[in-house]
Amino acid sequence: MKKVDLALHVPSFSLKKRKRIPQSFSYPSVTLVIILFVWELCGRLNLIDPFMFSWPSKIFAKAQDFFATGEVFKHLAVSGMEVGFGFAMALIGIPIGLMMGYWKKLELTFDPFVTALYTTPMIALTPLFVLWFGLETLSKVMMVFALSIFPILINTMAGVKMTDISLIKAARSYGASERQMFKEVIFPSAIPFIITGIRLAIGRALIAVVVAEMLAGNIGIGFAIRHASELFHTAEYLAYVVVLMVLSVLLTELLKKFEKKLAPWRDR
Amino acid sequence: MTETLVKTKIPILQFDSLNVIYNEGEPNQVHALKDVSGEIHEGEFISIIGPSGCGKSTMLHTLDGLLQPTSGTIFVNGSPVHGPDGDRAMVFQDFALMPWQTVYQNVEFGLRLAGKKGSEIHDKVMHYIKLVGLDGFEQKYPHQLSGGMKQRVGIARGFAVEPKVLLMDEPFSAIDEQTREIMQEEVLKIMLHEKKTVIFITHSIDEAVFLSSRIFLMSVRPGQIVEEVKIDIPYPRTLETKLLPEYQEYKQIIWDHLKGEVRRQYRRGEA
Repeated sequence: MKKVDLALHVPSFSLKKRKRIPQSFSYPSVTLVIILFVWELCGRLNLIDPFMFSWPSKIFAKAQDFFATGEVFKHLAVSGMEVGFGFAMALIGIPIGLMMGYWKKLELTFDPFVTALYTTPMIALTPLFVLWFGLETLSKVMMVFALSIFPILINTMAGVKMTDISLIKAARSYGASERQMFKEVIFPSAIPFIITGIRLAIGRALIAVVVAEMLAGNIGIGFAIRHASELFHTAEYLAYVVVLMVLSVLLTELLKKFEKKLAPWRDR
Repeated sequence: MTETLVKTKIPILQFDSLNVIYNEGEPNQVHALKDVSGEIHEGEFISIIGPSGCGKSTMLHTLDGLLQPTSGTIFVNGSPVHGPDGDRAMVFQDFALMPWQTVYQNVEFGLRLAGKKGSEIHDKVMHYIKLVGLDGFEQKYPHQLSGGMKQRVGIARGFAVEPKVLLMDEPFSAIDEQTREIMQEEVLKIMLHEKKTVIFITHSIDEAVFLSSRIFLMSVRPGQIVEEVKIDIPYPRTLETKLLPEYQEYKQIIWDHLKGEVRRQYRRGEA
């Protein structure tokens, strides 16, 4: 009896293995297909007013348009450049976070302000930034910087403070200088936290650039969204939003891969 | 004759009336070590044994230089110790290996911190990796190793800096019983081969008797060395040594000494 059971189980097991599509991919894919199908169906049955909202096939057609004309790339290039510069500047949060995590006095001096600035909805400062830095690129770069530096800084700091005390003790016992302590122990130990900070910061950077572009300027993905919505081109408007969504998902996934590469010891 | 010879030679490690007081002057003051003195000579294997919380680890950390004693002095070969240096190396209870470094990089750790360059130390690093039987595992990360293997990396890291005294803080307490016995035998073999001086902390009487040439017994807090027992069983010792009648006698002697201390601690409600 037992033998029969076993024989029945083996083929189903090996079949599962051969498929090779991870469940973490296949399950949400099914959900997505169902949502898109129902949504599309609602559109086709005239349950959606195209003035108020849109549906997948219309959005996709619009997306095809602006990809064909290259319109979207023009906006993406500008927005991408703004995010790139602002983000590069925000990486200064890593050394600051390392220092604030390591030297208690620095933390005591600045931590309340960093926390306050992190929790403040800084997006409210956009008009001020436009006033200071103009309608062009610079105000957006600065917004990206202002919004993304804090998650990076705070997570780096947390990473330093989470360093295993026995590793610090070991390094001290083997005669580590302060510089070596950072290089050999504290920085590598903080890397996963830094990546988490960067991942959180990317979300905020995208918000910053879109809001700033919506408020001022005449180019960039935020401007494109505002422009389409003002003309009540709802499908086009949503198509831009989808582009943004896909981009941020891709960026986040890329970072997860990057984290595995940078922190192979966490790969279990 | 040999007695006097040993006495006149400068001890490799000497400590005089060490006191360690945590939070001195505050209400939660703890007198962890009290007037601890001793001399350790080259080639000795010293175990420190005592009830838990008696200050064994404090003593080892102080000898390493990680902890500044409240009073008292430590000398290595006659020169005073001011902090951690290359004369002493530690092996930790929880291994304390850098998880982001390979076995090779971990063994190389102390040498790298001392500013030695990769190529000139390669042979040395490989020598100690081989010595602990981990050749072929150089490129593995600690999380890919078993507990026993991790501690062998810890031991190789200690050896690699070629210290005068190796300090081992309950190195096998996180390792399963079977592996532990093998590791004890291995460590003895390596010690004899490398002619190292070792100070070893344990709360296992069996482990202490098996490994040591001399055992320091510590009291409950404030930690003091209350007794010294010389183990006159010749090296090399193997697992068969544990079957000798004198081995059992030594264990009994140590247990008798320790019993009183543990009882005292128990009565004070600390055990």
